[in-house]
Amino acid sequence: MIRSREVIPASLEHALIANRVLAALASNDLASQESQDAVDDGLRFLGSVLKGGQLASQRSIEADSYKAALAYGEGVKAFELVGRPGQNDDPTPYLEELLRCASALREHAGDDEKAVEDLKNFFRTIRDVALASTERPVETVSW
Amino acid sequence: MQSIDQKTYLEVFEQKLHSIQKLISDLERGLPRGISDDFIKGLKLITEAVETFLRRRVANLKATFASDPKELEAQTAFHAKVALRILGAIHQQYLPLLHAETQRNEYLIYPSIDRALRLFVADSFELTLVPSFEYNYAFEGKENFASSEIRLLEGHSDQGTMAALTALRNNTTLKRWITFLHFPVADRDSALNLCVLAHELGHLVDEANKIYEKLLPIELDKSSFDELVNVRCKTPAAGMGSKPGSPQLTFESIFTKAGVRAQCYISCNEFLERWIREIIADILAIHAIGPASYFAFNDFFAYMGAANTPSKSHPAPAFRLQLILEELKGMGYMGSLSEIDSVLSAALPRVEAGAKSAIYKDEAKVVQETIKKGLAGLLAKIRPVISGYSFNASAYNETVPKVLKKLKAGIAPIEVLDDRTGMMTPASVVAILNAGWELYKTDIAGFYSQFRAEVPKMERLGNLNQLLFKAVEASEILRRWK
Repeated sequence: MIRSREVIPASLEHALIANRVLAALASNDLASQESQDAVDDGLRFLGSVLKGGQLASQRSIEADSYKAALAYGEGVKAFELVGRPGQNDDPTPYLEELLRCASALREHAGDDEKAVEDLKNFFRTIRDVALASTERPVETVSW
Repeated sequence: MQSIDQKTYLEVFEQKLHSIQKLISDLERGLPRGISDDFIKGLKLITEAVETFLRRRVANLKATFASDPKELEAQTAFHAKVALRILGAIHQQYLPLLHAETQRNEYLIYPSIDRALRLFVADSFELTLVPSFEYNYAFEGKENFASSEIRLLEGHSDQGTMAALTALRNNTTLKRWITFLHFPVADRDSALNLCVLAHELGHLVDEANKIYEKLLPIELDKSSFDELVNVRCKTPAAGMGSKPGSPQLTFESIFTKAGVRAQCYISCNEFLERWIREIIADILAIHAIGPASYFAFNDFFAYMGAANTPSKSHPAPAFRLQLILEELKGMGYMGSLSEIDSVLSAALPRVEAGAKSAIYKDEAKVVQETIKKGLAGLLAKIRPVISGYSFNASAYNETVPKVLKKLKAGIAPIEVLDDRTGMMTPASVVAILNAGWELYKTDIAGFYSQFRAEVPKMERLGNLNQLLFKAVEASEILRRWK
């Protein structure tokens, strides 16, 4: 059997990406190199989420599909928690809108406050969900 | 507002960092020389990188959020949590490996394994055999250990932190592959049982040659996948909607169909990769060491009392044994009336019946259907990796009988006569192992009859294993010195 031990699992990596986007949005300096790099990574993450959704609908297994699928799973969870207006079941329009908003921010054209707030809510949820999934039990009792 | 203040997080980090670094040094002192050198270097490097990452990030955050104490508090706590998670992972996942290695390392078989691997793994690697009290064989491999983790931290750092981490990473060069083979302590004196290790080595050959990746893309079977999603959507969510009179909530009503489908896809993805990697390792092992791999697996499954059911990590045992036996058939075995062919031929109908009766449901059904449809194509892509070293029936017939003759006489088969040169030559390790299995499966009573009556049966078997270990070790020494 194969055992895998990861010091930095994919979910912790996703938490790091989400936190950097949040820090960039909180810094009020989206023009700095650091903020731009963070938004670029956020864009890549959203791209990976959408790719995971595509692969899932095509049932296609590819070299990086597991990582994309994990990102998609987290993206859908965020959609279920914060982005489900009107009980719409399809997360794709919501995720595509986030991608559009993040791209606009990257091009310094993101002045839509609601869209920025949606982006913050999404990445805050990703950060918290992803970080929580790496938690260890505080105590184990068995008898 | 954080329930724990940032000062506490940072102090706890310092304490844990110190404890873990001390533990690594203590465990290193208990290890035999030359064991897991690069793994230890990598662990030290990661802990140093985590410390650099946190210290520098906190300094940068203080400057960035000087006017926003709330965000500074949240960011500092987040970074400390990440650093603590990494330390926690090292403590929980890697230190037990070092601890286990302080026990016994199998020096007798290591040189042969090392030589075999160099045929298939072009990059540098460090291999450690780890005795385990968990009755299990397992492979663990890390490509670019430490540098990949540090690179990841670099990607989430400010420029100053990134430069410091890059410098740290560039200061140390480690072997490309850091790998561990786990084997049950109970098998340490059985050369016969340890043949399962060939399968575990197959995992390294797969990883190093990216065999699995070459088999992609694969499309999951549509009808069983859709059925899985529909069943999951309608599955009652435990503990919810259980009030009398209230409707039973299902996964679909709590989550979304997209969420359920995503989870099904993730788990099928994981199942499929694991199962195919097991099949790759099975095929590589059977070609590398021939029937010895089948026999060792058959005994291992028996010892495990393995039910003929698939798991998240493995296809059903009977399916695997059938695949292995059919591969042996394709390698020319089972085509004669020899004793070994008779044993293998007798096993095939039983294994086929077992494979037919295995029950697959949920993810296992999706993956089994997917693999079944593409199996011929998968096998055709796996075989070329090992075809040049396949221990087929003619290689068996050419090498094993001479070794077996010595073994039957109670002699460690270290050297055999090479008919072509008329010289004594080191016996092949694969022939030694197969001779051991043939003797055990076809004429063990004859071997036991050479002992005095008072010697217990299992001690006689232990003697056979000692002869095999001796032959493996000594033939390897001869090969190196000749």
